[in-house]
Amino acid sequence: MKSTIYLSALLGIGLVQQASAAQWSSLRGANHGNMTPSAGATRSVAPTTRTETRTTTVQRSQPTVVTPTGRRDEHEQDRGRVEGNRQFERGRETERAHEVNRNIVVDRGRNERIVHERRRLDIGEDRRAAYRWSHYHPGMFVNVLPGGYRPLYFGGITYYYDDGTYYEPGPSGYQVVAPPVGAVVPALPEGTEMIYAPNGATLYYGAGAFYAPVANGFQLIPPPMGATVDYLPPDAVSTMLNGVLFYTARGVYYRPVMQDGVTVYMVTQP
Amino acid sequence: MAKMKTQLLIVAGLGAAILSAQAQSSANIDPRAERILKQACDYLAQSKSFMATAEVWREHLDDSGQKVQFTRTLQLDVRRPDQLHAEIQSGHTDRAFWFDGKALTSLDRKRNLFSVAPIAGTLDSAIDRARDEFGVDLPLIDLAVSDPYKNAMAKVTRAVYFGPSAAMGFQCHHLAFTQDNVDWQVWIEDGPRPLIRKFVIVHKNDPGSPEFTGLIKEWDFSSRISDADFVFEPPEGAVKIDVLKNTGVPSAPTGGSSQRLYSPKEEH
Repeated sequence: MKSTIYLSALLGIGLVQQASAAQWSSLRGANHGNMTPSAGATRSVAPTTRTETRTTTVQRSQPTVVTPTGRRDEHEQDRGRVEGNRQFERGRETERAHEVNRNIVVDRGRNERIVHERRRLDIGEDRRAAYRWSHYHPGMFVNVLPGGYRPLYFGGITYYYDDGTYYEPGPSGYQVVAPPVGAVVPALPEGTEMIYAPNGATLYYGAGAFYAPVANGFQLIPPPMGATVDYLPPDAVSTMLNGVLFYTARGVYYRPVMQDGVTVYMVTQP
Repeated sequence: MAKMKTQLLIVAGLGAAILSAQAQSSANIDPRAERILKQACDYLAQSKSFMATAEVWREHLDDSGQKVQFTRTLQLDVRRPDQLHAEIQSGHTDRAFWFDGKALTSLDRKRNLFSVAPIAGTLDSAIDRARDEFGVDLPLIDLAVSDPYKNAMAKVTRAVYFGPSAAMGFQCHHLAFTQDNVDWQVWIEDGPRPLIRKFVIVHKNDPGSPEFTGLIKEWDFSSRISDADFVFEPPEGAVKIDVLKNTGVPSAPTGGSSQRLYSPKEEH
């Protein structure tokens, strides 16, 4: 089991490494380019991106977790218990993986190359289509919570968290809501990318929300001014201000710019 | 006198080593592979303009560790020495690029956004600057350089001829080349027109050794490519946005205080 845990952790690291090779490929680039296709040949930091729960020692410092009332029938509850056990085991593995990740030196230059090289391939939308969270956006309703969700109590409100998607109980089922800034979640959404704030802080962007690493998980933070991301939050809408195009989501403005041949978005002010 | 003898011996030794290395290198290059590749590259280089329609595939190790292939269709129009138009499409993306000797225009058709990067010069220099300064590395761009043979053979250490092989329904010569950082293969049509039909690059030093594959379905060397093909006309409603250099600095502000992206406080 132990070797499996560490293998998983190293695999996670490798998953970030692989992106470094991402350019469409040309002999011209291989022979003359200053892009570094072998950037992934050395270690890079991989965020914990799998759905998991923490060990009991970690859970002590997490936000209060409450049990959802009603909403689920007996079958769902059984499924939830089984899933909970599975998650506990997965959580133990991931906790180890996270510890391993923390022992790796963050190389900002290498990570930024990874981000840029992923963009050059322009496969972001292909990849995101495979993530569950990409099919949900604030305002949607679901009758049943997805398997593997976690109840989350924050700011006097009970949320249910599943891989980057946040739900609140609705009149008939559950409503997808905006990520509650300030809440701490145990795991980052699938496909989360590491980004850097203009002040140099290492942050994460996943499922259209920003996270900062904290002792007991990852805390939702407001979009940092100046940060550049590959895609917009799912509830963003376009607006023209003084002849300049912006996208807004939850009061935050994003400005589209072209980089690496693709459209990316910079958190800004109008 | 003794010192001169020593120097002569060193020079002779170096000369012998160089000749030996050259002999070793020549031994690794199959002249048939070299000749067939040169024929194809010369045919391409002598064509003032051409259009290639291709399907390109690129492998990517996904987060699960699975190697996934992503594909795009590509139409590449080239007019030497300084014009290019590329259309790249898939179920998720739809992009186009124009180079007219003065600027590289990128169009995100899906979002109806475009940018203009100030790159002037020939295709060769534009290809390098687009890649190095703006991170734009178009698939099959090796076809557009002025000397495809020199470009292809620049770092080849081994060349092999595998004989006849069909690709895209065409009878081809199958050639394989080795470099320190990549291995690549090419399938060249056997006939009066030595056209490249398939092209594979293996990034053997990268995790998972991801491959690029280009399948060129159609070549057109006729004069059907018009001047208009190389001129960017913004689609209706298209919005011009800034382009960022690799340094993260906007290279071509379109005017207005709102362009100061990194210092919002300075905007007011």
